[in-house]
Amino acid sequence: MNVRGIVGILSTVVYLFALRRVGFVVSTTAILILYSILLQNRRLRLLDSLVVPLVMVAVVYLMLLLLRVPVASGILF
Amino acid sequence: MIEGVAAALLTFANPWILLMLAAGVFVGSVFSAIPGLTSTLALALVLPFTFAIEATAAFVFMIGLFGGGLYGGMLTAISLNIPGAPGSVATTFDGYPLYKRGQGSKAIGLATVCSVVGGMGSAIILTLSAVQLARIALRFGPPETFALTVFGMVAVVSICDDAVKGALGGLFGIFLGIMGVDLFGTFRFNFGIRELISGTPLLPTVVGLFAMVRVFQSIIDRGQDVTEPAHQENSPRSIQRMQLPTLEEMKKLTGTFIRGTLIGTFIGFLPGAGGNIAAFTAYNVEKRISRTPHEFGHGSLQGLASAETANNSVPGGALIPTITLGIPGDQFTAVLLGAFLIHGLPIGPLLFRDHQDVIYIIFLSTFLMNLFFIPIGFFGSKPIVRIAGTRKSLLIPIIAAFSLTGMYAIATTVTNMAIGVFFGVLALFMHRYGYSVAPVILGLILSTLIEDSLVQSLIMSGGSAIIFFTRPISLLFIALSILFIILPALRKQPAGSGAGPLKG
Repeated sequence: MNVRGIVGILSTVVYLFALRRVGFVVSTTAILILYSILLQNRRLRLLDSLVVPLVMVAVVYLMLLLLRVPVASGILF
Repeated sequence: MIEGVAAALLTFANPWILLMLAAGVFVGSVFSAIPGLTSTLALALVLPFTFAIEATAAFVFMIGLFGGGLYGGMLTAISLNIPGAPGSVATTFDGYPLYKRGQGSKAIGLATVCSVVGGMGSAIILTLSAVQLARIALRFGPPETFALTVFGMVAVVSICDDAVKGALGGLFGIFLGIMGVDLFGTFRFNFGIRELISGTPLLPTVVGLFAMVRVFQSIIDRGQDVTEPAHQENSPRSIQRMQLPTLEEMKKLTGTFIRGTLIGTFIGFLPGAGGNIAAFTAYNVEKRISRTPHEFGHGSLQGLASAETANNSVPGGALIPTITLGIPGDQFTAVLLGAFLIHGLPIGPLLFRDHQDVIYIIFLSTFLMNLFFIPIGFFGSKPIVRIAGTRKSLLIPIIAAFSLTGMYAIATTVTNMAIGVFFGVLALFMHRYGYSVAPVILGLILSTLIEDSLVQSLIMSGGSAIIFFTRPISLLFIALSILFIILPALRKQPAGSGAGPLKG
């Protein structure tokens, strides 16, 4: 287990606490961006760090809407 | 049986069901082509979302994933020399030399035909034998059911790298399964946590053990790309459109097809022995009886055909004990058993008695899914190989998004997500210390059946365990269990040979 792994796991725990308070969209976007950054080796790529997490959150948000699953909405969204 | 197959055929007249089967095969092929990702992971990811569709479509999709999961690994094995799935390791021996000779299209074409032939052959064997086996299994009483479930656990544990660790994993799974309330309504092992009163939820456990662990492991490995070095050497652009083998070549390989199908189906039937063992066994048998053994390893069509036919014959074999007895052949079928429970279906002989409609749809899916290998081979091989080279920093967030959302969507509670994350971290340590997660899942799935049949048996016998030894079928399974425990202990393992089928 290295520092990246510990940061990844701890941030997931923080995400679980934040989900109800901050809201699904913002907290999930944040955790996916963090995962992407932790997964990259040297220089950060815009596509990996920002575009993919945003697109994925949009996809899963639409899926939840289609499945009529109530999305956790916090103070933001 | 004929009525059952005819009714299932009518189901497949629905284009939506066929589309779901095709989608399952395609997704399974993509996941197995990417080194490090598996069809079991794909199943864990899609399982929470299958609630949104009818059970028939869900099971058709899952069976498609199983078949695609064995087929897709061949694409990267031939074109990049990287087996996407364990069952495709033997395919690299002759597939990659053929590719280097400029015969990559021919190799993919032959491997596709072998997959279709092997898959369809094993599906026919499945349909014919499962019905007979189920008729016997339906006569089982509680003592036989208990002995059978114990045998199922022992069989999976015995093929783990370390049987003691496998047994501990199995016991841990049973412990997770009996959490909550016992048969007499008494609370147990819930540690005062309200959410655990109804026991350990299966879905978040599956997602955690198979999907979240992949996310955490990739972060620890810094998103290392296994495929990158190979891509520098071999561009997916150099892969031509699939070329089918000639009739002459097919005629020459008829014996190889038959032997590969029989070996693959038989090995798939054995608990824990998957596509890799089937492919290696068929490859070795073929090399021994071949007139040109010196060509093996240097681009032999016979070698490639044997490995691929056997590898794709595994689903039919593996589904026989899974469906009729409730004993899974590998990790995928263990999770598939969980899917039965999640969709409210019983496991074991009762599935055959009460849900024959589902059974025949599964049989027919196992047969028809093989037809989709041909369009995937023609049109999908190039894009799939390209996807297989995608950076992990792009792929893993997608897996994370589906894992987290899937766990949330099951019951819209954060508790389920926390359980999934807990099991993800636990699986990380299990892999690190050489524990397999398959016995845990199997223990969790079979725990209720084990406990119920044990209690019912003891009530029948007035509390005496002798009942398990006085009934022939029960005694047979107990004897087999003892044999499975003793045999690995007697077998001398050569130093460093730790590549069991349920490693980590």
